[in-house]
Amino acid sequence: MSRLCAPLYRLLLGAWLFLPLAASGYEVALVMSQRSGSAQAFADAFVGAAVASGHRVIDAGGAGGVLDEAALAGADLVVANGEAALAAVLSRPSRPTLGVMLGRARFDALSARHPQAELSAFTLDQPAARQLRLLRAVLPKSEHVGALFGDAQAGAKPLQEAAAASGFDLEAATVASEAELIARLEAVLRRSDAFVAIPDALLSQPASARAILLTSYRFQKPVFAFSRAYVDAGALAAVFTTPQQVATDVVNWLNGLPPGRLTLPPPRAPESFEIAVNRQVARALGILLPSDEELLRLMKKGDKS
Amino acid sequence: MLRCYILQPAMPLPFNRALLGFMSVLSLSPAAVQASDLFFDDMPLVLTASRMAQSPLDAPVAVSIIDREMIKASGFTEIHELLRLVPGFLVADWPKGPPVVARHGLADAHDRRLKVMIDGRTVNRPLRGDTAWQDLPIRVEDIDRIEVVRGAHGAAYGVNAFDGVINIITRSPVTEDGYSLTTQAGQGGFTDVAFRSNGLTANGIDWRFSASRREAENFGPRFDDRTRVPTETETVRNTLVSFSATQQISANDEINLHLAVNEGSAERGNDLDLAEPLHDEDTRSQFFHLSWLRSLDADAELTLHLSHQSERVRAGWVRRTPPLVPIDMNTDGQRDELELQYTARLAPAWRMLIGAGVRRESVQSVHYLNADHALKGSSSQLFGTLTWDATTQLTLDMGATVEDHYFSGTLLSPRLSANYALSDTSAVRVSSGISYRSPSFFESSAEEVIRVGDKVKWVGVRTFDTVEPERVEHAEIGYVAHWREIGLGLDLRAFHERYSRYLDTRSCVIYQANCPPPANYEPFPHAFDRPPKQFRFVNSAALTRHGAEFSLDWRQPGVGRVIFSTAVIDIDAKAGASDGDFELSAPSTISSLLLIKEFASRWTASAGFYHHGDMYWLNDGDRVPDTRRLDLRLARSFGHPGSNNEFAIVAQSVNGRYPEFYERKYRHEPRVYLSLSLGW
Repeated sequence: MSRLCAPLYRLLLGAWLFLPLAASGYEVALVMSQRSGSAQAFADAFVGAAVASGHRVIDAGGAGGVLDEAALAGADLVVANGEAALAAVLSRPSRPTLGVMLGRARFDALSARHPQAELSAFTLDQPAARQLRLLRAVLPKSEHVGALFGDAQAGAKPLQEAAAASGFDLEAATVASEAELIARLEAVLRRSDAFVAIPDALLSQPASARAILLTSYRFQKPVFAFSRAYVDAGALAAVFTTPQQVATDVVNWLNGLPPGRLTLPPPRAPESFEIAVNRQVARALGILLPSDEELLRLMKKGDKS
Repeated sequence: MLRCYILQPAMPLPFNRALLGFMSVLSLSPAAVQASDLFFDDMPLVLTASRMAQSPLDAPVAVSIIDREMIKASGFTEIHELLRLVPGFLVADWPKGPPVVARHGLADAHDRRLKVMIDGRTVNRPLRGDTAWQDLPIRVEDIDRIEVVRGAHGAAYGVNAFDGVINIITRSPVTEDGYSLTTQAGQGGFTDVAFRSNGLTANGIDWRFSASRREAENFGPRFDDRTRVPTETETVRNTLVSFSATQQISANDEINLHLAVNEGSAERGNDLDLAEPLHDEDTRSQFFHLSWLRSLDADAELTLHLSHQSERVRAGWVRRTPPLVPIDMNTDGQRDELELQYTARLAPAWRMLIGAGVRRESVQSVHYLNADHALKGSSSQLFGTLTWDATTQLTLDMGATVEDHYFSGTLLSPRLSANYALSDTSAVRVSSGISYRSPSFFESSAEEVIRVGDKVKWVGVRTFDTVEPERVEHAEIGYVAHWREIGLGLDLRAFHERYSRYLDTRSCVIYQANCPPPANYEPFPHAFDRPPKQFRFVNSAALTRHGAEFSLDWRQPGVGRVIFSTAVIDIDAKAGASDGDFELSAPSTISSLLLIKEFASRWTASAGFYHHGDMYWLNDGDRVPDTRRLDLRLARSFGHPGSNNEFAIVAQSVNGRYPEFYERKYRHEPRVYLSLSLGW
């Protein structure tokens, strides 16, 4: 065992030793898509929080290697950390499975291929209403919101419903290929006060995001996005959930279950979130940004109304 | 079986990314990685400080921006015309050379005191330091925006940013796709056809190719109001080919390449002028510009610019008065430039910019320099700016450039400014500094001659006294406000500029005191009572220029936009000034107004009104009276909203022709043209 593994090993061992004190805990098999970056950050946070709450977490392998079939068969719950992990788990008979650290569109695609699976997910997509509350908090007088959707229309319906409920006019277009991006984007930006970026595979790849940011700036329209990296790149603001917050959401859900009666909830968006703003972009666009705390307060106020 | 999680310490980002990439290759489908990456992976830093225009509330100097909407609504088809929209700027054309742009007067046919750049690359011509506006290798459609510094700013842009800086920022190929074709045709033999094609290669290179041809009769036949002698005419044809490409080669690095060539063929002169009859002038202006941008973080970036430009003029004729000698007006100029710039935030309240550059210029002209070889010179410069947010309201900005110039030696241009935020939306700015302008090759080494063999038969302008760089001490106080909520921006400033060693020409009679002839001087036969004269460059007496500017930009979506500017100027020349017209060279007021109104059914109407008071263009120019010009444009877009299909009719100078550059001689004629743009 490597030196790096030792602390966690002791932690897990401790959890096993204190099993009688946590009799209501569940046995969770964790399958990894990769052992780095955000997936690893989720695993670290999840193991720490789950073990501390009396659950047992077993490393059931990675999507690229051999899965621990015994662990998967014996667990109360399989947590598939990332799309590849979920695909790997669904390729064999399994226990109730919760996908985490993936977008709703990818989850729906996998779910459709395995209709019999006992399956749900805590997805990363923010509720459209939450994104629009951030937009409203930053630009209280905005009326027209622009958005582009991919060919699959992922995220279209929730945004349309949220925009209607929030009193925004949604100016949207569908982009079927990269070649259509600029023309559709310009058409949307001409009619919009701000642009909401959707986590679509085509529209969110770096080249497309670059085109969206540069063109939006040319039109002097701010972009509201779904990741901190998007804000660093030039979006005005974003609402997003960190891997640690996803882990917290999952453990909180586990802790709230009655002992021994694990039932999966419907797929759901993150409960916990953060916001990020790019104050340089705001200055360049002449937009006055309240403090982060004030923005969060305004978002919550919008939440209640 | 119990496996252990590998709890990793935080790794430096590149290693993290490398590992992620490596793992994706080994174990995961690309789509799977991509799906997760949407939310967590790094993205290229796109809107960095150098990409965005600085907020006018933060700028240490007065800056105006001409954006795409203004460009389109103005109906102008040439770049220099757009500068009519800048407070205090004057634009004129004349048939014997390129158009002229000036700020607050003090200008002649060669606008050498405004530094003009395309994407940060200087385009002023090495021979005179002026700008061949019609030969610039870009088109109006290529421009994303023009940032204009209204005043000297040597501390940031180096020697020769003397009267202002015009930075033309071209549109990134990333923001275009597909094809477009624009055809325009109108009165005065105006035709213009332009084609653009954009694409994205499989390895992520965004590119644009464009080609165009423009032709126009700028000055037709007419007679001098006083002498009734026919005046010069000018017809220009320009063919332009341009290619630009950009690639984000990593999350932090971007490479840009732009190359272009503009071939011009102008017909100039006057067939009844025996000394300078109607003749062709062929020009070729070309450049390549390679830049690398490394975004280190949101506040830090490194840029490297490498560029080369060359201009070639081929013109000549045979004098029709004895002796019938050929006149050779051929000129070649080149510039190579390398510049490195680094910006960073040193501490939460401290930002800095530091850079260094080298420039090599050469020029060859028998006519203007009386030399069969090229004159060459190299300059280097070191520049830096330190910005300190002293309090939440007060920001101090200190900058300086040290330039080692091949002719003028070492020059230091410092500047100090303070911006005080009155509120989140308004600020007061106080700024002061010293800037220089080095003599151009022509000003430092002029020997404008007509030679027959090795004999000099005629002399125009010469430099036989030592000339010093021009110097200006400048100070201003300004108020800027930008209320986005109501779409209103205001900019008000008062300025005071004190010039010394202002370079100008004085005439003298050859062989009289202090007026020696050039070597091998054997003049054409002349009347005894009309001895030949020559002009020599001198550092003229001191001048002061002061005044105020006001501009307003109000935009309301669904209603329209109003952009108004006005400037009042006064020039005082000290005794001994070389030109009695200095004080008259600035009109008392310069104003512009651009109205844009969008209507239903995708119609857009715009009107531009441009006015300046009575003034004198210096040297080759002369008085022009109070001038008013009204342009109208009506356009309708059609097809898919993002296609940029548009039909437009533009009427320029609908209020009639007006005197331009020289009241007695030249007229700007009204022109109506039609424009059709198709995109697919």
